[in-house]
Amino acid sequence: MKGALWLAWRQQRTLILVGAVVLVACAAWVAFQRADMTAFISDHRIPHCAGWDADECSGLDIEQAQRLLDDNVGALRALGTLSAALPVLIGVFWGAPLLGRELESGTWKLALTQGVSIRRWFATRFTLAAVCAVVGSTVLAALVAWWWSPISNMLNGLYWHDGYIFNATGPAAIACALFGLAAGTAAGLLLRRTLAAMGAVLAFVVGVRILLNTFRSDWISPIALTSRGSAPRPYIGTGWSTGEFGFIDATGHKDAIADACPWGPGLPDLKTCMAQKGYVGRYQKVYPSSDFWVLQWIETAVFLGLAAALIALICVVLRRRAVL
Amino acid sequence: MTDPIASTALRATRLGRRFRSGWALRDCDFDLPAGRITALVGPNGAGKSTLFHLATGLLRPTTGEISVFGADPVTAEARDRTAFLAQDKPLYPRFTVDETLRFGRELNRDWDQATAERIVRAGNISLDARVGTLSPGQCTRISLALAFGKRPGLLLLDEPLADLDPLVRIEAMGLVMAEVAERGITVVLSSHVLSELENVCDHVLLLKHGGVRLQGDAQQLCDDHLLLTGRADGSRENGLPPGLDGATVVESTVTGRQVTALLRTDGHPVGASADDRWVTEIPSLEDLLLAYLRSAPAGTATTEAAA
Repeated sequence: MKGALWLAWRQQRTLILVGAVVLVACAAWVAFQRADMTAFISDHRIPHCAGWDADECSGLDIEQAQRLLDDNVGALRALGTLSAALPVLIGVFWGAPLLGRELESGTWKLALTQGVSIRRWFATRFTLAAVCAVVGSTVLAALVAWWWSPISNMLNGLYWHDGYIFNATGPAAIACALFGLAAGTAAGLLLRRTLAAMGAVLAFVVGVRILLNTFRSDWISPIALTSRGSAPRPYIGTGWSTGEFGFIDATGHKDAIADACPWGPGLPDLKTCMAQKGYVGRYQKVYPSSDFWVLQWIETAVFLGLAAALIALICVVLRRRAVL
Repeated sequence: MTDPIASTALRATRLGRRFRSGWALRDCDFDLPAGRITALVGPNGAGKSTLFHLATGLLRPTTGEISVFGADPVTAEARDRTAFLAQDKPLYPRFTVDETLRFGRELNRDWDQATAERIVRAGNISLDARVGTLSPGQCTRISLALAFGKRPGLLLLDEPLADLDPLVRIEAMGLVMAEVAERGITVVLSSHVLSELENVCDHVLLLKHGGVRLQGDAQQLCDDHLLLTGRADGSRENGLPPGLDGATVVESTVTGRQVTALLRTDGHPVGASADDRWVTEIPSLEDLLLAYLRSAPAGTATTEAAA
């Protein structure tokens, strides 16, 4: 390695090597666990039964299927937690010291009075970190998806909209790692102290994640699953229920009153009640599992936009040398 | 060599830098000649470190400009010719000495590995030692090895001797002077220890309150001043003898009945010299600098020595 890249490598090699060891260990562990899992599935001929109520689930040996989930969901959750936490870890341990430690110890004065320009010095070290963050988060996201796919959205297992899955895999997880790195780098630059920057980026990335998790379902509208008359409600399948249930009247208007026709001793049955109140059908609102990708791309765009804004901020501050 | 740009190593024009706390430097104009060793003197907070940071492009000026051999400090041309030893002498503590020299080699186009290694070896420092385990004196040596390995035309040293013990100070200064003499490097050196500057510097730039108070050739400046000592003349307000009209009183101190004054004469004879009650002498550089450091900040005494 040559020039500024050598310096970036020399300063980040410990992180890179530790990260690589952790990733390799994770990959080996997942490969082992997953092999175990697929062997169990084929031994007991467990169909991939999506949701609670799909047709594939009819011939299911529920006891064995439950064992399959019990054996894997906990460990998969742990892996999902690691993958979802990766952007925070990258921000705290990689982004915050990337410039923060240089400014804190004064070594930036040493580096920037050599032959390389500030632009090259920053671009090299940030690019190296960004490549590592993207590779690392891609590997972890892929491991989560790979392990999860044979038991995805199954019975009481992990669903696409669970944080352990949604935040841990897909393009948004990778974009979030980049965002974490940019946030940490910016915090280090602006606060000029590694420890303070670590605290700030921890709060910031976790805060953004909580906001996105809270408002995730607000980006797009759910679909309404309807059933005519007093026929049983349609299956939710792998959908993500919004919790909105209700009745449809003759004009097609939807009343979000889940208990308009309660069931109980002394009360009229559903059909009578609906007829009395003028309802012709029932509905519930859900996000179908295909919305996984819609929501993933929306959050990917949000994270990449934030990362780009932070990188632009860093460039402006560095260009103005407003760091002393 | 008659081209003024070519013979000027560091030039500032209306140079100013403001921080949130106020102006650190304001309206500074100076030309530091190439091939000389300039003492940058001033009390704490006078703007010495700010000046170094502006000269290396680590900071950008708020007003005016500064150039290194005619080039903006942030250009590759200026960076290649300037070496800077910051006050805190930053080094990467986890690097070995060998890696620190490699840092210099990788980041500089024209690197002189032989010189850098020679400087390190002369201090009996192992190339495998971690920088974090070295003494302050050894760190100074490594920093100087990095600076000289760069083959600089301009070497900026911000308080290079602070935090060193007396023996190491002499050693470090000797190292700098030997290398500088060999290659005709222009040096700007700031220090609090005025007596140390006397023997090494031949040019002076004195900053006070963010402005240039004095600049010029060290010998010429001494020759342009006179140190006057005698019994206070009770009939006059400042205690000084009459007949000093051709000179400017830079600073005067009354100790008991004795008056010591530094006069700027610019080589003109002063009437009081003939009076045998007054002793006049050419001040030492230390006397001169001390007088200017102590003198009131009034702008009247701001002077420009002929370069």
